[in-house]
Amino acid sequence: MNLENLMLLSPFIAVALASIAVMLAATLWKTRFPALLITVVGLGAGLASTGALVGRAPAAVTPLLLINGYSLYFSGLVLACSLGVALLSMGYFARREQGPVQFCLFLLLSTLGAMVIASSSHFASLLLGLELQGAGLYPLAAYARFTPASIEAGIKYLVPSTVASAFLVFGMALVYADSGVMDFGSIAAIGRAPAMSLLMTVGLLMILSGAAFKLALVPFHLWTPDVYQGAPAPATAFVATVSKAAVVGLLMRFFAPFTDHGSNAVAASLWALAIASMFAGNLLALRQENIKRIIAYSSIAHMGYVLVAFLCGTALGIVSATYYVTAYAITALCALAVVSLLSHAKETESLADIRGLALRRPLVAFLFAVAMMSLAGIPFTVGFIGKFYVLSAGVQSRVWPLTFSLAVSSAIGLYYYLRVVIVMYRHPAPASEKDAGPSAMAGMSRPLSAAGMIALGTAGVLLVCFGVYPGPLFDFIAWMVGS
Amino acid sequence: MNHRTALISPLLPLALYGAAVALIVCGMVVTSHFAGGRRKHRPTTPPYESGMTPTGSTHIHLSVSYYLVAMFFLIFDLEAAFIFAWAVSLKQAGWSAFVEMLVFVGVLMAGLGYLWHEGALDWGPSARRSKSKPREESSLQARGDDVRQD
Amino acid sequence: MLNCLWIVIALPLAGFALLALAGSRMPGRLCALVGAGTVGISAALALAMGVSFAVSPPEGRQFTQTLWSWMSVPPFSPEVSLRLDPLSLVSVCVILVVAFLIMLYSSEFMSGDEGYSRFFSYMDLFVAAMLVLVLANDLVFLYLGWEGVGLCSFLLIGFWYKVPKNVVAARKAFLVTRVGDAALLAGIFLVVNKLGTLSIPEVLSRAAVSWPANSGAANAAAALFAVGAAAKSAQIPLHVWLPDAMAGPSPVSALIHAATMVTAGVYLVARLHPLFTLSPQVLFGVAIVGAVTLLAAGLAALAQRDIKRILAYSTMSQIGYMFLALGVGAFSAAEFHFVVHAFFKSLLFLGAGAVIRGLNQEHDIFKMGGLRRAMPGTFWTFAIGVCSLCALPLVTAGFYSKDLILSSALAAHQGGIWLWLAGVIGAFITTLYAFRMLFAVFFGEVRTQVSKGSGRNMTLALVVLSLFSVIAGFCQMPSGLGGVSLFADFLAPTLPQVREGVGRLQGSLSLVAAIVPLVGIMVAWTMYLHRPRFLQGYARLPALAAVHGFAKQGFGFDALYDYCFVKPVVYLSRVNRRDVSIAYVGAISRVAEALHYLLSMTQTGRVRWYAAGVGIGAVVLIGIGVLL
Repeated sequence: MNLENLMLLSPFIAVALASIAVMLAATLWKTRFPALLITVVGLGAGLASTGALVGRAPAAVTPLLLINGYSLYFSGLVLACSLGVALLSMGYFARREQGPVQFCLFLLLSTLGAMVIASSSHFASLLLGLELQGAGLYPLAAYARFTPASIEAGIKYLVPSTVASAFLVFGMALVYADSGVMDFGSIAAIGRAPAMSLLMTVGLLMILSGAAFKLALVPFHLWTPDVYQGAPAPATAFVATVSKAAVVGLLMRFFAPFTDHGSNAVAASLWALAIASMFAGNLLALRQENIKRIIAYSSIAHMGYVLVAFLCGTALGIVSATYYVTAYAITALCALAVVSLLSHAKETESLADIRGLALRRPLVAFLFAVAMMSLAGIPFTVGFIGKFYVLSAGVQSRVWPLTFSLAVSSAIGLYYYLRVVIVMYRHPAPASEKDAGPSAMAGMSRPLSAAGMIALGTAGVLLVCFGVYPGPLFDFIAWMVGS
Repeated sequence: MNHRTALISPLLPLALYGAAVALIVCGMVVTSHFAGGRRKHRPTTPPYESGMTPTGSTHIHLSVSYYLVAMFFLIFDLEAAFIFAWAVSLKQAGWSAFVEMLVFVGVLMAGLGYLWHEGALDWGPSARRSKSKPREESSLQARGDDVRQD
Repeated sequence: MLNCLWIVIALPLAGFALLALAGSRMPGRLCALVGAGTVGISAALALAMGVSFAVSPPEGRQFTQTLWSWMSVPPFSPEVSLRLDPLSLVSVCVILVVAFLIMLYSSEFMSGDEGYSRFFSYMDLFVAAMLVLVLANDLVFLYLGWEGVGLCSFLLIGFWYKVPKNVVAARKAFLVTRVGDAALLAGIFLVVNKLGTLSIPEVLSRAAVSWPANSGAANAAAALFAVGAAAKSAQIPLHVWLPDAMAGPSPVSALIHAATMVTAGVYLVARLHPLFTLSPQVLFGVAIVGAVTLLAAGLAALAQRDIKRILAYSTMSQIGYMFLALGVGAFSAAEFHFVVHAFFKSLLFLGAGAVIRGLNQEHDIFKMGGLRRAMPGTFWTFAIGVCSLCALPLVTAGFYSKDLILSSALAAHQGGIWLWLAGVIGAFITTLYAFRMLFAVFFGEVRTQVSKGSGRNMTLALVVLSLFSVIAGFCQMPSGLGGVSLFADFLAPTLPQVREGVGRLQGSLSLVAAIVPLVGIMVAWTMYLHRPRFLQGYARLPALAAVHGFAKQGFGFDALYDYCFVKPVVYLSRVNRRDVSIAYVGAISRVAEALHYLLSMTQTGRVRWYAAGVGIGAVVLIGIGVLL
């Protein structure tokens, strides 16, 4: 462990130190502010040190971690999303009984886990990262422990996740049993070989099952809507962005050698997962009345789109997939920021809650509408550009079944995204005002948290900026991922 | 094809063995179902407690503090195992390992301090909770109590 | 200086964003200030750029500012790229100056309206979209502007959306122009597919190289673009939306449906003129459409009673002149008429708006009358506009532009005496309906009292526009009258020079064309003011009354379309009530919905099932793996 290695690990160290500092701050001060400050500063420092490492030659830090452009990009993405979630949680917990201190702690730990996943180059570090991330995620989902739905979300994430982890570890064991290696480089070499043993295939597929669970690909998606719905809105945002981005990074790095050439079992499974996810995700969201569940189902479909680009097996495909994940993270953060900002005593989550929002909060409604349009892939949003690149990668590689499924399923998706927009721009129903009573109306007129608005505004601006002027981001990704 | 047959042949005895186990177990269950005597009287259903009539509910709430302390013990015990491993190779590991171990113990101490402050080590209603204000930070102790009340 | 080009678009866009997001909380004066101010600064900037362009022209007399590439998958890489050349420069300056004056006017005209800030935000968005359309150097970017102005047109026609009629009018405009938009889009696809580029100069140069004249591809592309242009510019047979579009506020009619958006078709043809010259047939078709439109719309205007509908038909007729000029290859004549028309027609609309507002929303010209004394400022400026519209010789701008069109129609080899004749007859009709309107509104006896006068801002806008309606013509005079050709020279690098007739026959015919408006005024004076009885006698004849009614209905195009398109659709849908098409169109949604409910059943909410789901999934994957 020399100085050079410490430098390369500085993003990890920053986040780890921040989590310890939060614990100490919780013991030293009664107020919640220091913990929040430390969280934001720690994540910011992590982001800054990640930025400082950009452009260095790829380097392995111990056999466990590999720091290259790819891992740095995903670490940066994870950190940025986490920072957004931290800002959201400031406003979200300001009016609640429960303080945000432990939330910050879990957030930091889970982020650290996600960064380890994104940088891992060995089964051991991968498992460590996944478990660290999971250990943070379950309490995050269950954080609003006075509401049964949140506890339920935690349990519903914990139990299936344990099952998935079991498959993952068993898969690792099978791969090790067959090949005797645990580092990704050697496994990639096996992947490039023309034939693979059955044991190896089964092991890889089990690992894929574990990863697919984290990405909520069909048929590993069942937990998604309940967890998204029950978890407090910032935690939902975290599940939707950070944990997805890290695992996509892993998936693309680990499985890329297996999709390079034609038809093996891993590639075929990924195809099946992609097509099933795109259709099932969009279909499940169709008649949904709950915004958080809509976002949950749409996340299933969007991960399917990412797989389409990834399965092209070309450089453009990888870059497109990375761009798409970034686009999705920005958009999901924006959408869930709105949900988080609008939630008061009760979560704002049904479509009826946001009816007529445009009249009361034009800016928030506009940003939410833009986020929905980005999810739907309407021009001048980052989601459109992402989908465009995914489609062009698909067309370039002539993966017609995937491309066709993408087109059809996103056409289905338009229905429910636009429904949300329409609901917001309708006049509020007079009957619902009566039902909702004075408390709901009072909640609608309270000022929104400044920190949350910063997160929402930044996400919204990026969403439009990268939709109108995507060139630099795309080039940056191509440079980072390519190098 | 080649490696597949190579893989399957050692598995074949295993499969046979598994099938045999399943068959025997099923056979035992089925046989006892048909052959065994069955009576349905009042004393057959309650749990057997050395001939005594059972009292109270079978659903006993243990204090969550019990699990918490058990868990803490496990965690810190496991961490101690790392320290042993370092201690026996103290000379060979050198100063850098010493620094690393300091960091490790420091993190442990921070965690312990946090738990202590949160009242997780207190058995029973903590002093902190009894004087708690409505908008105070949550504590693990409070969490335990709440779950028990459910 | 020219590097500031993007700011010209960015300012109105920023104004729109500000007004759209915060407008409802801003005081009215601030809204107007933001709305008109952003456009005003843009206008000043554009004029300054115009001066700098004229004084020290950039290399090749054109300036391209490529801001960025939107996305890039070769060969498809639409660029956000602006092109300033004489053609776009002139258009930009005219658009911005007129828009600024109209917004100045609106700040007073619209005061007290509940949608005050909404109005200015739409207007700002419109100006930005129009500038994108004009400055675009890339077909996709141009299409963005094209759709943007269409959207704003829709929003502003239906501005008073609480009246159902207005919304219907907005929808009609949107749907009819959609036909043209679809054609334009198809044209763009064709060009991208065949030529492999989206950049307009590249398209034009590659088309000239790889498409021989009169080839199928050239004809198809030109025809598709021409249909797009005709729909946007309300040319027969896609003109039916424009008269109804008058449901919007008068400043909207002035800006969008007279000065700028409806002339976008003219601009498109001028911008792509090398493509059109490859296809003489399509170009001739454009000329015919223009000639027919200018005659038919003029006649229809003669039969209207609603002042704004008269002006709407007049706009169609004047754009018909521009199409005629385009069709005979006199592109700069069309552009010149666009400039002049923008001034005098927006002047007329604004004047009409002042009258309508003064008379409590009275639109019928025969219920007005004698306003000469009550509204002197409006009267004089309106009269100047009418004179310019009628091309009163020598003193008005309209004379010079129309003369240029007529003489080039005669001289150009695609042209001919018939097109010239159509133009001259059109000029006569123009004079008739224009002076009919002027006499009915401002002369004769007072029928309705004026309830609201015009204030400073409105009058200022009218005066400045009337000034432009007179002096804008002096930069281009025919050879017989000093032979100034500043305008055509300025445009020369972009648009080919106009061929002007010089022979004796042409000279005498020009004289005829110049005299026609004067004769028209005499006739109009006689018919409408001096001896109205004379006309009323004829109006009782059933045949003439029928013609009059037919013209009043805009020659039955609405009824025709109703009969050809709307009725059959309604009929079919009635016959087919439970429905063959629903069987498969509806099936899609029904299948989707059924699948949704089917899949929803898997969401049981039970943890053990979720955990089992993970297991099942893994087994399925392993199954795939083992079977393959």
